[in-house]
Amino acid sequence: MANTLKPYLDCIRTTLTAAMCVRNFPSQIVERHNKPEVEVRGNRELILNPLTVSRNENEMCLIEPSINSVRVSIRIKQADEIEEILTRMFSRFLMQRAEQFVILRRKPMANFDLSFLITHKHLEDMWKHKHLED
Amino acid sequence: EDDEEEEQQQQQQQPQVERMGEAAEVQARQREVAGLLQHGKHREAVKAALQNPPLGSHDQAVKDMNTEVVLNAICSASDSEIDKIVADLYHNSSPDLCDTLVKYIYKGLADRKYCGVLLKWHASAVNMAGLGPVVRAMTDRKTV
Repeated sequence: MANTLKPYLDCIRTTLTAAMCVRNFPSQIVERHNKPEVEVRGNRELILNPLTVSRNENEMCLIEPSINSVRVSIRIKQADEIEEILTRMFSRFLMQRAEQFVILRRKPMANFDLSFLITHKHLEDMWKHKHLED
Repeated sequence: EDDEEEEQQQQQQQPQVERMGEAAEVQARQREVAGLLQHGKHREAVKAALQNPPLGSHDQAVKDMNTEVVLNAICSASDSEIDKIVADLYHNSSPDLCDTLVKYIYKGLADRKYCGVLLKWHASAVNMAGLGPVVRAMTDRKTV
């Protein structure tokens, strides 16, 4: 069990390093708007293939890159109902304070517990390796 | 007019022939890899499995079959051999094989099979080949 944790995290780290090559890309549809393309999904050219890194059946991390944003969704292992409830309470607590976290998404993707949205603006303000450490 | 109709029919038949050709190729590769694995030749098995993947094929069944072949070959290798096989792929064969390897690793991880083994292969491949194959797995339109 503990054996797979380090390779799992290393794999996530390298995949995220490769995925977080984002740059400013204003919306092509609406003038003067700047939307994260991974959320809008208007144009297939701007979105890259999503990659999944999974440790076992229950724990996975979905990384969806695009030209100006990266969406990272995590599914945490939940062994039984109590853990499920705890996870939900914890993630709800975090997500209600999403503004403080900056990169947290208010709603997780379907089948996942927690989602992050990282845009080029965040990368301009913060260091990439600091993002990765978490 | 008859000639034109015949040409159109031929064009319609060609994609079917291509698909049959791909399926036949994958089955031939399956037999080859199974044979090599029986002899215990893991390195050659992995190399043979990674040749000519059906990129951009419209037939999902063909792609799934090929994925199975590759994952079989990869997972039968023991841990100590992983580094050697990846080094061999990178230095001696073309770097395309490394790209294909990483694409199949991600495909296997997405299906959540053999996670522990695939994570080890991933670490080894990224050590050898760097982040290039990862980026190419993300950007290549023709997915495995």
